[in-house]
Amino acid sequence: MSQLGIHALVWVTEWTEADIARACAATAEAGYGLIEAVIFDPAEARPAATAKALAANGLIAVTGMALNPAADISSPDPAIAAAGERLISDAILATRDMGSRLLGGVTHSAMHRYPTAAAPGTLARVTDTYARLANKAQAAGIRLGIEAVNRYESNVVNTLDDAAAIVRAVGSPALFAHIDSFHMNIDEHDIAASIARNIDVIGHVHVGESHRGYLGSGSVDFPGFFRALIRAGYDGPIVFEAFSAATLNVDVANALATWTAHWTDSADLARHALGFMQSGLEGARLSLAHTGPIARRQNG
Amino acid sequence: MAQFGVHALVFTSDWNPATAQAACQTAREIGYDLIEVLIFDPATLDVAATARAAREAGIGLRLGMALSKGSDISAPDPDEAARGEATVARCLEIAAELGTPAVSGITYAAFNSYAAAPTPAQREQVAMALSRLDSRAGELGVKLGLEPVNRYESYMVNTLDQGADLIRTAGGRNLFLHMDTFHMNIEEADIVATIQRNAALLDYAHLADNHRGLLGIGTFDVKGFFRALCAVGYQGDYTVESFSPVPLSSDLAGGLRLWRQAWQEPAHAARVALEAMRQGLAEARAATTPW
Repeated sequence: MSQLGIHALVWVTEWTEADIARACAATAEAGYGLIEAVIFDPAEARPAATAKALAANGLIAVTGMALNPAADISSPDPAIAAAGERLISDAILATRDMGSRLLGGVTHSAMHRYPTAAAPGTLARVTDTYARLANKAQAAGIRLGIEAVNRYESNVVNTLDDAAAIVRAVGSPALFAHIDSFHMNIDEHDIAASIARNIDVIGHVHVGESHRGYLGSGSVDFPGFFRALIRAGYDGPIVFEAFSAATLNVDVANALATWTAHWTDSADLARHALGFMQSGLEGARLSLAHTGPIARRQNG
Repeated sequence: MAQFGVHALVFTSDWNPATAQAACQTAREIGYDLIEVLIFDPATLDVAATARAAREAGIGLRLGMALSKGSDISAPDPDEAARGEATVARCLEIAAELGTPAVSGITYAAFNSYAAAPTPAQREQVAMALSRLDSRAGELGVKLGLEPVNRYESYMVNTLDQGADLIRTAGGRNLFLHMDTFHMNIEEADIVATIQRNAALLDYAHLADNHRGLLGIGTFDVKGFFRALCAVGYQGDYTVESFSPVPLSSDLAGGLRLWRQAWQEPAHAARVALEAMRQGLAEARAATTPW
């Protein structure tokens, strides 16, 4: 059974000791057993404080990250590519030290509105880099994810099939594909079909609405999404993600092109999301359980 | 009666007399009533050749536009903002010259990866400029449309409600909302509800699937969109946007972040889309007619 979690950026936009304590307490208070911490800078991941706050609130953690234009494994510039590989290597160690067993996110390229298509040879270079990083992840006892993000956030991995192809090419159990319903709603043809054909490599799931606000208030077909996961037998973590200009610091909000305050009350949003995911997944389980013929009602 | 259009970028991003003629002919042969020409730069659009190509093919014209960095009506720099306003004004004149009813698109800001949100002062500035442009549109007998686009392509107007508010602030009578399902799928909360709230201002629609590839093979609820518009008595036109880098320059494909070849053959994409729109609208009309 999947563990339900919430993304730290629903609560905080930095990872100071005060943020860590607040985010973990709020996560537990809202009823979640898992938090996804964001590693902006591995040197500032504060593993000891994180581990302490997790234990104090009875939580487990997964971690997420995103490369940037100066540290980007997809860059044709060897120095920038090396900086990207270093950033991920450091984040792998920070993940281990924080007690997380899973590092997901935009690890294939910068989270960036690229102006041109990726250069020829990019995918091969990125795949080679993942082969080295998979070994490091395995040595650290964690798994490394490749998150498919929409066309405006990367020019390398935009669909689950893109991510799955890299995982299969490397062939390491330490790598997985990381999906996100917000991005899939932009770039997939058929979400259920894509999940079905790639379930063997899916290791992490983000649940986000089409506009990244309250779940159920946008255009994502969540009954279809949850059914696809349950039907395929997915049992990894499922993490709710939402962004609002009301809670993010201005740099993070700008990077995410979050121009409006879709929501203001993090606690209300978080509680609603947990109920939404629980009932959505339960509905999907029930629908899967009721596959036989439906008995006719007899008159009299 | 609603007319069906196809965006010129389905066929080419290089709009010259020869490509204009070919695109207009192909669109007409497939069965389209309209072709939408994107004005990259009003100074370089060949207006006479565009008019000739449409006339010879027997197809109607729509005009689209997008401001860009350097001539951005929302820029804090007054010179840059003035260049943006002049660009929109010139596009309105072109609409009048071509006898098209309107020009619409990203007319309230630039097609740009903004690094910061707009301030209230910038929004006020845009409202005042739109108010002046509304007067100019009235003089010319054409209309000016605001197309809400997703957060990655612009700011200030990402939803129909934001566009409607801006139009009300500007106080225009020749301003309207131009819908685009690709953007609405990302930014709107309830698409049916926002169509109902803003019905009076809706006067044009871009149809695209969630991924802007072949219309009808993605996740967008095309059926629900047509039904919502039929239910509020929408009378505007429908133009398909189905994009692939195949017929586009690499700069333009990059600007639209088209990293995959969604299709190979423009005429095929155009045919699939026309069939989907005809079918969708006919079904929605039937479904929303009382019986």
